Amino acid sequence: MSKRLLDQQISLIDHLATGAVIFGDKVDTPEALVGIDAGLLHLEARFCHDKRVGKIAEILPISLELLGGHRSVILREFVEMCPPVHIGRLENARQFRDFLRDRRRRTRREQPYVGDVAACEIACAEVRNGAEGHSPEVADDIQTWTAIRRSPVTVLLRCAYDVRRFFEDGRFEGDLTTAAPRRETLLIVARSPNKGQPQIFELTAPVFDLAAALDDWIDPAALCLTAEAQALVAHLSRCGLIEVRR
Amino acid sequence: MRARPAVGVGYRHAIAGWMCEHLDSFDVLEVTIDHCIHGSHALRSTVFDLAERIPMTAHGIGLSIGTDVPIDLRYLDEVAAVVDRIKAPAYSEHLAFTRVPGRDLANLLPVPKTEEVAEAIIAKVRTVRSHVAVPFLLENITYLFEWPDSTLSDADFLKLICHETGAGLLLDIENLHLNASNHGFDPYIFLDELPPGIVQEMHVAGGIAVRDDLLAKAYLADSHSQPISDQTLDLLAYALNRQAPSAIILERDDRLDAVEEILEDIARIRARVANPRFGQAHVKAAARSAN
Repeated sequence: MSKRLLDQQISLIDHLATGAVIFGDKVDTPEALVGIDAGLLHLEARFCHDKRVGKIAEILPISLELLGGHRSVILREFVEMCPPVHIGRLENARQFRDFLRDRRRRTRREQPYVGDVAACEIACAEVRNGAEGHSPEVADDIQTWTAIRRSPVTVLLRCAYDVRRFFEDGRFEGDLTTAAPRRETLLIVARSPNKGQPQIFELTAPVFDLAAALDDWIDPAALCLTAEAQALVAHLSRCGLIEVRR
Repeated sequence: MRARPAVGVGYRHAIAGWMCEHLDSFDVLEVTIDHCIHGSHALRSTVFDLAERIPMTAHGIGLSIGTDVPIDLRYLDEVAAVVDRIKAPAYSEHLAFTRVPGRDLANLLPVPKTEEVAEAIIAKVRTVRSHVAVPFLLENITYLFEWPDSTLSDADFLKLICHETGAGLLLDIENLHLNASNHGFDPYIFLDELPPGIVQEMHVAGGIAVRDDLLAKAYLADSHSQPISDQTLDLLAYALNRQAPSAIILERDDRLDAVEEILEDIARIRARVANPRFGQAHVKAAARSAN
């Protein structure tokens, strides 16, 4: 195909991803698209946008709810600043989370904890995606372990606000009208062995640091764990947060 | 006597439990390859387990064969692996483009229907066929707008590519119905123009009418959210008189909780498959007068 076709295609996709086209404002049609009905381009753009927002809403229902009356304005700003680059739900949700964080830094508007809520929702989705069929070995007797690591289907999060009350069994349960308290909160999102949905656990700083250090398999002897720490690791293993090899 | 087509539904993980419990209602499941490639471990496990219990066919949404850049061979390798894993007898994709470098609209867009564009797609279809071991089928998409430089009809464009490459056609009957309604052509003439045997699989679905202040009229949209319309079923019955697809797949992506509608649609498809000649002349005449 000629270079001209790719130019036409780039022009079309850029046009369809433009806020003015999506939201039906008056806009000039690019030269490459002259002859195509502007109303139909608007409808196509609307379909694409609705599909993209639908994907984001599947992953970030609480975050979108928290935006309340500002939601449509924020979504429009998102469209203008973040063109679609991926077909996937998680990728679009991550793009929106990054946009929300950046917007908060720029404008100081909206609830300051929305970015943390979005991070938790994405972590829950990642855990849900990865957890099925993952059956780590659980063993109490640490003397038999040759290696340990943090479960690969966990996500560590460092949040500026305590947003846990918005989540119960990975679903929205909280009251939107009450603000989340500002408090650095160290979280791990995981699917505990007996629970269907991802769980969000708060960790103390030492446990968070330990979990962060266990990205890959490590001989527990190398950690020089005290008896108390060994009991803790055994407990984390039973919770599905740490995997062991014997 | 021709074998009856297998009748089934597109696998949707959101209702996986219900689908597993109702496998007896379907002869075949259509798996969206990209869901297996990008989806969760749970989705892949369920699909691969189901492949041991029911025949599957493979459908793609991520190839973007119409984009004017070389085809993504790594993606094709991933497709081939899934096709092999689920033992699919065919792999289908849309005759469309969804992305350009750096942008992915994730929505099927038409390409200009010209001989030059057809030539480029023919080369890509050959690449696909050399990478994926099973027959490759191209699907007609629904489109809201037409490129002004198009010179070929929908049917001629599809026929040209399929004839030159040996690819089959996945005929989406709902898309044909929507395009005919939105763009004012006779879908029965389109079906008459297709050579017998070119259609190897079919899609059916139910869409919605969309109105907008910027549009002069309501447009039909391929929402995969409603029961199949009678017009689409009439077209299906008519198409079955000349074509012998191996599978007819019901596509449903929205209002998935209305599972009874899925079973009812499957029964309505089976009824048309059993009696494709029933009322054919009447159906054709009535549909033509409606158009």
